[in-house]
Amino acid sequence: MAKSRAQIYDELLVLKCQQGNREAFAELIERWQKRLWHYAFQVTGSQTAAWDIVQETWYGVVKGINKLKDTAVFPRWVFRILNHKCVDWLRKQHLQSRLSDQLVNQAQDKPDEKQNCAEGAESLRQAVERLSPESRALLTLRYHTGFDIAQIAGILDIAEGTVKSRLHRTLKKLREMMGANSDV
Amino acid sequence: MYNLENDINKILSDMGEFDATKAETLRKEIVQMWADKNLVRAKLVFWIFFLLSVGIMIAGYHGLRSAADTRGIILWAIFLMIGFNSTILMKLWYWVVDSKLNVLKELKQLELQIAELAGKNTPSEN
Repeated sequence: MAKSRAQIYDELLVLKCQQGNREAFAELIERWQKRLWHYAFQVTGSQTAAWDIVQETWYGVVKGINKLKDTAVFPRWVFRILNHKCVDWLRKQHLQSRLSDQLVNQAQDKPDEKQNCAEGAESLRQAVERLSPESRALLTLRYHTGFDIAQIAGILDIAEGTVKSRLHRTLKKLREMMGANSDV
Repeated sequence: MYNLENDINKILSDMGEFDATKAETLRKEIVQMWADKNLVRAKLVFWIFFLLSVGIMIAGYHGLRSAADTRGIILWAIFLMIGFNSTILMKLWYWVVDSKLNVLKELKQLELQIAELAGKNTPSEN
């Protein structure tokens, strides 16, 4: 698959960083900070926690960027670090077990809920907000950051098939929630 | 991307308030930290090589003086020469690594220009 200009530019920045170019590192942070923060925010649901996680992620990048052999894997690598930090945070918060419970409950209960809400975008917004952090994170990786299935599988350490099925399930659930919303 | 996916992207982007001031502060902090770490690393590499070279040279010199037979003298002389040459080897290693990165950088710049000519995506974020 042909690389986009943005991807090549990122690779160039990583190479410059490996040569010790300070401006390149600053630019790399600027280009990725927002995307990292959005992902962390979708997972944690807390702005403060998201900033802490992003900061820790950059510490990880500082430690490892000189050892990165294939510059093309930078986005996947940095999101992998971020994802690990997010999982650590969730563990600390003892949310892991609750998350899976929430996921099951939402799948069972939420579509039946009748709420007063506007149609269209607002309905979608509410549905997205009611998704589990796990599902929101998946949507962020796919539609906000623009990673392909293989890249997401690499970041989350799961099989490509699992990513596809989770994505399919999440979209289906979203549609069901939106349907429930618009039935009101 | 069809409509739902576009809408999801928009909604996800709008969720949470990204604090640009905080982002800038963090960026500066991380860049400074990275620069400091690089400096420490460079100093560490320099001192390790320096002490190693000096150590080898001193050991070689003492070995050479105390060597009893010709074979011993030759071996200690080689050891001493390695000590002298290790500074050159260090520079050579640095040059090889730097050249490799320069070549890769040039290749990326070419790739970037080709992509520009082919009229692909803009260099901005997704």
